[in-house]
Amino acid sequence: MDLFLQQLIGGIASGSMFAILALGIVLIYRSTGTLNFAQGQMAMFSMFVAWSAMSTGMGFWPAVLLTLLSALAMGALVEWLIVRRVEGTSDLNSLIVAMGLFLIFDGLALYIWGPLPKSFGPFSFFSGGASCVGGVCIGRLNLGILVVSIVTTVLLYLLFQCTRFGLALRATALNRLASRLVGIPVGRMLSTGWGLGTAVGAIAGILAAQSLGLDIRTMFFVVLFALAAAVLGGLDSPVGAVVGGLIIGVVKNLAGTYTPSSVGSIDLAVAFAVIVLVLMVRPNGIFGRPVRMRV
Amino acid sequence: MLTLKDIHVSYGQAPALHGVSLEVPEGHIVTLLGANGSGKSTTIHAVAGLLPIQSGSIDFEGREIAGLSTEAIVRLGICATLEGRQLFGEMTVLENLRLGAYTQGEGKGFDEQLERVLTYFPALSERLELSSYLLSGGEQQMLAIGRALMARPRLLLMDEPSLGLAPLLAQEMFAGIMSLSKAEGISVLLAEQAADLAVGISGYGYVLEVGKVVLGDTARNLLDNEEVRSAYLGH
Repeated sequence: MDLFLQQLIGGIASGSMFAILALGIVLIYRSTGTLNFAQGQMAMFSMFVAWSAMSTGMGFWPAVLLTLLSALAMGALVEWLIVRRVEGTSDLNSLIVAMGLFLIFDGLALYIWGPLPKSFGPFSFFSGGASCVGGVCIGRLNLGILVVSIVTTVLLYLLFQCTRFGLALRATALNRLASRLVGIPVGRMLSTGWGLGTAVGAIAGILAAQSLGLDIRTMFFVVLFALAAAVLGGLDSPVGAVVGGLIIGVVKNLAGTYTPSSVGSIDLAVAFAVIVLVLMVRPNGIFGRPVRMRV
Repeated sequence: MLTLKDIHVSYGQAPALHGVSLEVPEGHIVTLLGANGSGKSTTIHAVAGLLPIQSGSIDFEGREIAGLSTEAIVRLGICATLEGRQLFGEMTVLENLRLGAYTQGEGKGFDEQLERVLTYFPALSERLELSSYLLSGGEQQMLAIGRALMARPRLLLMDEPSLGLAPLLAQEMFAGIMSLSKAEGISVLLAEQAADLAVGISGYGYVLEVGKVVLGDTARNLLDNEEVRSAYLGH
């Protein structure tokens, strides 16, 4: 039982990291309908920005703040400079744009920071002894990831549900023409959606680097799980992204624990099998809503 | 209050309006008549800043608004309700109304304006927390108009407000529009296929044919005009 709980908590922690990155993917998808699988490489780029800031002697938190602001600007700029040009043409074009973004950020990072892994954390916030209740313990790293994930999710929730700005962001995602009619500056909202999504991705990146280290490929498999989490939850649902991320984290961890180690990375196979099963029953994802209309 | 002079608009290569000129005097309701594809909707969209204009001028209270963004036009006091109502279906009635007041901020004035709007559409006040896609067609149209009113417009543009409504409901709605225009001093430009009802509440009307105004007159004269009656008013 303790083993089960232990693995459950570990799964929730790693799942919350997928959830945060998935949240960023959903924010961008809701903004311009782009399935941004460059999300991972953009997060990786932000991680390097943080690393650079800190190697000039900046403290952890100021560097994080600087990174988030630069990610916000970077995402907004990408929407304004690139995504907007192909909007409303075809889904295939937005796919190509996402591929292009992947290559751009991958190449830029390689050019600026080189191929060698950098040492990046775990920082003091994420290191220290484990906290135990009964026989179940949670390491400081997992606890840190969990806390940051929860705070990020709650802040985003408050932004979207309790502010006028958040209301306008949601409105733009739902109906652009109606948003123009009520006087919302739609273009600015779309840029903001990309900016927020990219900043949230940067948070996921910094969390990932604590356990996975920092190099060009750090986010490769994280973004795979995050994309899966977003699809599982329903691509247009922020709640779905969080739930999807947690499910994948937990299933992956439990599958890894209870299957013989001789079969190798069966945890991935089990996690994706669960996704396929869920999507067979709910093709729009757990929280994804089919288009509803009343004539 | 609103003066269109020689407006040209095209969709790609196909010209949709060639030289529309018309006028909406302060406090009046003006109806655009015309068959499907005659350019009524296009005119509404052009004034609302939803379509680029090739040439011509749109003067609103002495200001040139052709080429301005919809956001800027809303801020100047022109709001539109479009065909299909364009509500935020997944949002509640109240959220829709809050978004209507987006350009106004949400200070003290908001509650006041909300109360005012709800006195015109009391049915909505019982459904504030309901998702708007669950409303009936008539209620959705009320919400669309109510949402536009939240921005405190001085000119309301309406594209086919009666579309999809039962005749009795449509009649009620036009009566509502008339009393609202009088009480709030709001001018209205109305594009409508159910034209007899619309002309009935209007002071003026214009007849459009393939992107051109072919006739403009007082509502009374239009109602008396045999040709107009048989072509657009259905009796």
